[in-house]
Amino acid sequence: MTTWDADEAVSQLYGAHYTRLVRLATLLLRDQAVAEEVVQDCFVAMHGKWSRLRDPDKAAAYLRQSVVNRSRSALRRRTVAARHEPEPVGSHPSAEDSMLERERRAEMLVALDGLSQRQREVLLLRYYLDLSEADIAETLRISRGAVKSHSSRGLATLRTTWGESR
Amino acid sequence: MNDHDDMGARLARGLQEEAERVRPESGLQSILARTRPAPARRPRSHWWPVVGGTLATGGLVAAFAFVAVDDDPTVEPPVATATSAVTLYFTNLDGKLVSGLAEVPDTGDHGLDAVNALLAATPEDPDYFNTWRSLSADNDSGLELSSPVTVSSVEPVGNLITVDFDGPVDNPWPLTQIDWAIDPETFSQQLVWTVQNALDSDAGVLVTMNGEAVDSILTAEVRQPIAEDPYALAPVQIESPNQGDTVSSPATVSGQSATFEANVVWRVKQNGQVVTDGFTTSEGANGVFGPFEFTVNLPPGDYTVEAFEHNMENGKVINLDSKDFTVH
Repeated sequence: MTTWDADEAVSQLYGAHYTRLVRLATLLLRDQAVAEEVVQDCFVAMHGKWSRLRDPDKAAAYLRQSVVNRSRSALRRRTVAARHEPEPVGSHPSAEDSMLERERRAEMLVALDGLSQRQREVLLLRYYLDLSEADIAETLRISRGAVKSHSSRGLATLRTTWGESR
Repeated sequence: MNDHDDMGARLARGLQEEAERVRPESGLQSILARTRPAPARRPRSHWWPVVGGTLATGGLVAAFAFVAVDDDPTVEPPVATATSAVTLYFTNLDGKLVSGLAEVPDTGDHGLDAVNALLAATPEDPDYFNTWRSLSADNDSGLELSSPVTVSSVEPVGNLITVDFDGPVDNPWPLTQIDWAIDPETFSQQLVWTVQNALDSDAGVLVTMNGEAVDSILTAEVRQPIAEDPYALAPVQIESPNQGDTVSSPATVSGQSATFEANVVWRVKQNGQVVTDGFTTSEGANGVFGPFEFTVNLPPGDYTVEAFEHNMENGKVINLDSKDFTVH
């Protein structure tokens, strides 16, 4: 079986992963415009590395990893602007989006802000991307034990900060 | 532990809802643009069918592949059997349908020839995609296929065209999580428009696998038979020049459009800089397609022509189509 050239790889992987990765980055960054930039940077970087990756599964893992890493750096650069009221991440309120639901989600974002960066990353990878413990460990380059403990501590904190407001 | 599971489920739901509010605009064009250090001269090439030696299971269809042949007058296209041009529908960066011509071996069964071509074709324009190709035996996606799919028959009967495949067409990559950036129903429309065009028919299309109607096509559930969706087509498409063509100046650019109030805006770029621009009125407007045409004077060189319309609400460029070409 022959393989994709870099352009075709970018196009196909774009089709398969772009939206979800922008959504992940937006959840991490709370800023869709910056999220789109970050994800596009990752695809451009992947294009350059395609001759080494050559495997769509590896490339998908690479994209995931670089989106998390670059989002983390983008957050660090943004320290000055820190601690503002978290804004809803998207610009498309759905029709059935009641005030109550919006408030509940705003509370979720505040509660996520109260976690450590690692805990937030682990929980997003697990509960948004639905990754396995092993994949999260590989994405974040941490041990599976660390994934477990970040996840359970993060959830425990959410139980008190977000859980009581239900 | 149960508390964790509850919280996890609640978090998953909340994150999903929050995420769905994020609708990124298409970014592929700018990604690909950034991977090109300088606009490269594209060789002018055409797609020629090459007739292979193997026979498909039906015993009637010669397997073929498309290969690019540089437009060198000393290179003769391989002649092995009668060919004819079929119109295939691809998807563009906005997830809309765009058409392209392919030369295919003419077996006399136009529907079958067209679907065979759809399973094999790579669009010349780098902004166009053909996901159907991922299903076929000679696909080069690098992903493990469940099994390569070939089309067994395309039969118009009464007001129904039945397209039968010998394998599943729901998801060519069962092991890969797919979150399409474009509406997956567009893929069924690719098939519907291609088949209807080949048979000059507007009958609904029923897709079957070994005689059984399928309930999903390329990750989207479908209600069968599938009717053509008139809104699936890209509102602006440049038909001439073709991607990579060499033309003389003044160059005539023509295409089909169905834009708001018939307005088609155009610009010609060289090395990313706009060298000339203008607008024209199409014979098609407000959802009804019709031809547009304009002429530009250009010194010899490599160019990209773009045709598009402006979003009436915010002035943004939408429905853009582009072609790279050379003026000699």
